Amino acid sequence: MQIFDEDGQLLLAAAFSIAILVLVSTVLLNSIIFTSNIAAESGSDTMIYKNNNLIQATTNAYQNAYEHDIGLNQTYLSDFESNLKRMYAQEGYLISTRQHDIFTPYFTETGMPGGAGDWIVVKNVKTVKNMVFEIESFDGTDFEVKALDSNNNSIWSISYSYDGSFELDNVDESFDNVDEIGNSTIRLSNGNDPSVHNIVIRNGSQVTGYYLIEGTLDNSVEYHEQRGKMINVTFNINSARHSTSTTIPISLPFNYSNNEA
Amino acid sequence: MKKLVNDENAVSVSVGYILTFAITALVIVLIMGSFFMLVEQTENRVSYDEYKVYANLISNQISEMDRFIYSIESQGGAVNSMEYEVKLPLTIAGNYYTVELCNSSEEIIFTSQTPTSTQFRTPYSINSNTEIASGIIYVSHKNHYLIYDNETKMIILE
Repeated sequence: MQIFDEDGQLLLAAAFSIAILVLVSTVLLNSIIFTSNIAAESGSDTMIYKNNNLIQATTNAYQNAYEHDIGLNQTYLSDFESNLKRMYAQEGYLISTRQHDIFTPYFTETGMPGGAGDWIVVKNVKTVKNMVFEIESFDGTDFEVKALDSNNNSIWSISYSYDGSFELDNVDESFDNVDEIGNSTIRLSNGNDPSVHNIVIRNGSQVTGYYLIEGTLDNSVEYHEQRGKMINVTFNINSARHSTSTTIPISLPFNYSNNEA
Repeated sequence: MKKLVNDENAVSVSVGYILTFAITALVIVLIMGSFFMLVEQTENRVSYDEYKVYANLISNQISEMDRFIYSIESQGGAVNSMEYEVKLPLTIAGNYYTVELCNSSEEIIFTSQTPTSTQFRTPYSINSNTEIASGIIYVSHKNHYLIYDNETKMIILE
């Protein structure tokens, strides 16, 4: 009888090849099954930049509107807003703005009562062409505007005191014209101080009022720092996935007619 | 039929069949076992990678919200409300999972809901006065949002 001992070998070889086939197909399938999960949502979010652009554009519009009409021309502002809505709608954002009351700011860095009361208004000043400070209300602390040189020594200073008058230190020597109007406004022009200095405010968080300072900086660039009244504006931005609502105080230009008593 | 004991051929058909069948069965069982182990290992590794992606996504969004709040507050303004949608898939690598924000250790923790759970932790950073509210969410079909609450100054994941 012939011994057919190749039959078993064929079966074993077939089993092994099936096993290897299963293994290889498992490894292949694994990568297919699990890579379908990895598509995650990515991409940077532009909400911050959109919001900042919106605030900047609206600030400019409000400031322009105020310069022409201190009651804020509502037609101009609503035209502006509807144009802005169209622009942003094309990018998938719904925006709306709402204005609140106009108010008198504090002499803090942000104009709000919680802002820094001691702050630098202008840095590296070479000349002061024109400076106006107008005090609206005073709550009893020593409010000071002064010029500090590079060693933090005071060149000139103006302080407003309890009895409602200005105390000037070296101001008449530093400016060609000094005018006090009433008890609450001081106007100076043509500063003749040669050294480079910073103009700072001290204890501004309990005094409200307006200011304007203009002149030239150390690098011959002109500056106009001013703050008249302020207005709170609420911005709402909605997109498909985000929505924010923020309220920002916008500073309006200084208005000389503020101090017509 | 051939005699089992006194046969001199040394090849018995039935024993041959039994042997080959047994060996084949054993080999198949071993292959299946290693198949499932391989799948689970891959699952863990893929889960880990996926959790890393989503956790970094959430951490980035928290940082964006924080930066936004900080920039608004430094201008003297206030953020009244803010909502960001966080897109999380229902299952990752076939398993349900939870997302936890831990205030005390300042971490985002992803945990899979399987007997052998994988976990991934990543820190987040906040620079402004806001804080993150600790909480766990079980990812479900509804949308998930990172919400800023102005009164408590906290960011909540819901």
